Amino acid sequence: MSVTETEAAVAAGPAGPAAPAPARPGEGRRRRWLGRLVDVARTPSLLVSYVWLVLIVTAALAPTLFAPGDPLAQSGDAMLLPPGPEHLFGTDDLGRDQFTRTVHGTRLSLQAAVIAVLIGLVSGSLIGLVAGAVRGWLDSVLMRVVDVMLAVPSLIVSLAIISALGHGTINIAVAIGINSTATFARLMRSEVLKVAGARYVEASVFAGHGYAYRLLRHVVPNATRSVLAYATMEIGSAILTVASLSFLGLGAPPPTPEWGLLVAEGRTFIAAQWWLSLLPGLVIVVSVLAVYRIGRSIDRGRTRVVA
Amino acid sequence: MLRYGLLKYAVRRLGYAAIVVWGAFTGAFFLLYIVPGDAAGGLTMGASGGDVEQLLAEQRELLGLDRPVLVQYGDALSGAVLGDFGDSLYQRRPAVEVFFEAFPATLQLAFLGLALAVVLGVALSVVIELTDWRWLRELLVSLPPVAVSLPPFLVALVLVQLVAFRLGWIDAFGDQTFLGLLVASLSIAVAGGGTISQLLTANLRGALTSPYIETARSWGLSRFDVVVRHALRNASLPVITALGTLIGVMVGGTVLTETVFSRPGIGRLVVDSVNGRDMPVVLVAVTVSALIFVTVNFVVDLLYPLVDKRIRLEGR
Repeated sequence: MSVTETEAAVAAGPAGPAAPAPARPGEGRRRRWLGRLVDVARTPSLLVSYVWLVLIVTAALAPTLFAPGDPLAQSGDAMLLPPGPEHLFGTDDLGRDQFTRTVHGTRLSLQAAVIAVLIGLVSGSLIGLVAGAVRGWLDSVLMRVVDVMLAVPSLIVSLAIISALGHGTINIAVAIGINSTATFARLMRSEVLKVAGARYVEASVFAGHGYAYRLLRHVVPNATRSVLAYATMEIGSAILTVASLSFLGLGAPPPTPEWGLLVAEGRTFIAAQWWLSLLPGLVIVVSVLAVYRIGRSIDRGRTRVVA
Repeated sequence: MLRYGLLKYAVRRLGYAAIVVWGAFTGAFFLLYIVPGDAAGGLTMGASGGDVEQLLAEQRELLGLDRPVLVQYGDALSGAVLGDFGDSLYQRRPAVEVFFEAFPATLQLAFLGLALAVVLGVALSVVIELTDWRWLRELLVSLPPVAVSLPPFLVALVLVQLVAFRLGWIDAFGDQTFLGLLVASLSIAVAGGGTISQLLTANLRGALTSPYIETARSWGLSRFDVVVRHALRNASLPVITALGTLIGVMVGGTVLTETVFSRPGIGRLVVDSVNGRDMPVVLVAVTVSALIFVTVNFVVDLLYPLVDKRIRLEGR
């Protein structure tokens, strides 16, 4: 998806707002950052996305800042209360404050998503880099393996891995990471092939640079850029998949606050106390939306600089 | 010459398909094999008193799980080639039968979901291009990103809440009517429709700036004709590619939908089989999925030249 969007952006080319050209070589990096900040401030949706990202990361690092209460504290006289100033997201059947639980669940959910993407990014990029740089029979073999990985339903792989490692949010992350390896490998390989055909790589050959130097200095940095943009968006998808697998009961056991699990637990009360599922669900939606938005802007920004 | 090229192409594709299906089968077999625990453990679970070890060993011998792994694999593979995957270890009847009992329900759900996704996605993109009201366009353009950010289980839950509890149109649990199927498939269609619309909108925009669109306009064709009959056709190519992966996502997504709507299907079966290490059933599921994967990709490749006449199949 991102690849085609990139192509569309390239085709659009000069129509989009141009990146501020660096005045002097030394100033380039700083100017680019400034330009990026201005871009962000000018785009309301992007600004909101970054603000939300800062909020959830803060919630993950220091949950007590937003919700000082104990997420597991039960209360007999505050059961199934609707959302109000006292309990922003209402309370569940045990009288636990749903907002506190959502805030405290942020850490596990985000942690899992980031771990999942890191695993897929590192392993997939390595496979893709080797395949794209070495070519020949190794490339064919690796790409067939990747095809096979794409052909096996990810649910079956996830289930097998999770039943081997035991239930748990981080184990879900490992499973998702392994599943996303194939896509990362494909993307990395195609980027390496694209970059390898570029003029500056050719120039590097004539400049007499060695193979390893050319690979590390030119091919890897240029190929990883769009892979990283894709990885950012993958964090959004990973948040969704982590929540989905938790929803199916493969994640951490019940008292643990985790986004997908909160939605699953509220499911019993969907007819009358719909907010128990819906509000944590909305937090998931907004987070994914924000991450996608940021990922897209990175992708676009990158294309603008190159084109 | 042409026929020879096509033949070469077909052989190549068949060989590729065979390798992918075999790889999926083998990968799943060994993945499940190295994962600790086996069906004998699942069958004797909860057995107490007596010699549990003895019981386990007996079960293993009965199921043939005590044989060397390569012998087990060879048996499974040679059986699978002939379409015989052996009996389900729990249900004691052919695994193929067990699987295909549950499969039609899931297939229905997935394909209706896909069809809905295509209809919704294409309609949305076309309306975005055709509308004259800026505010409506802005509003519609913001829909697809939201759609792909919605967790499928949340969409399903909201649909159950609205259609089953509020409106009372369908049963909340295992509704068997067509309306029930439609609502359930809508829950997987939302994300798919969003993906399709995002792709298509970007492509339509690119296509509408092409010279042939200028020509079509100068012929005096209506806006609708220009967008739908000329631009859409060329913009749909990447969408067709995306359909290949979307089908896989749909079949995977049915698990959540089946759980929330309490519908029958392979979702539950697959979860139980993997957890119980019911190897034959899992292998059937993996093989069927891999077959669908290679078939869909093959069909997608065949569709390319039909949509874009410049593309030809080649037996490279």
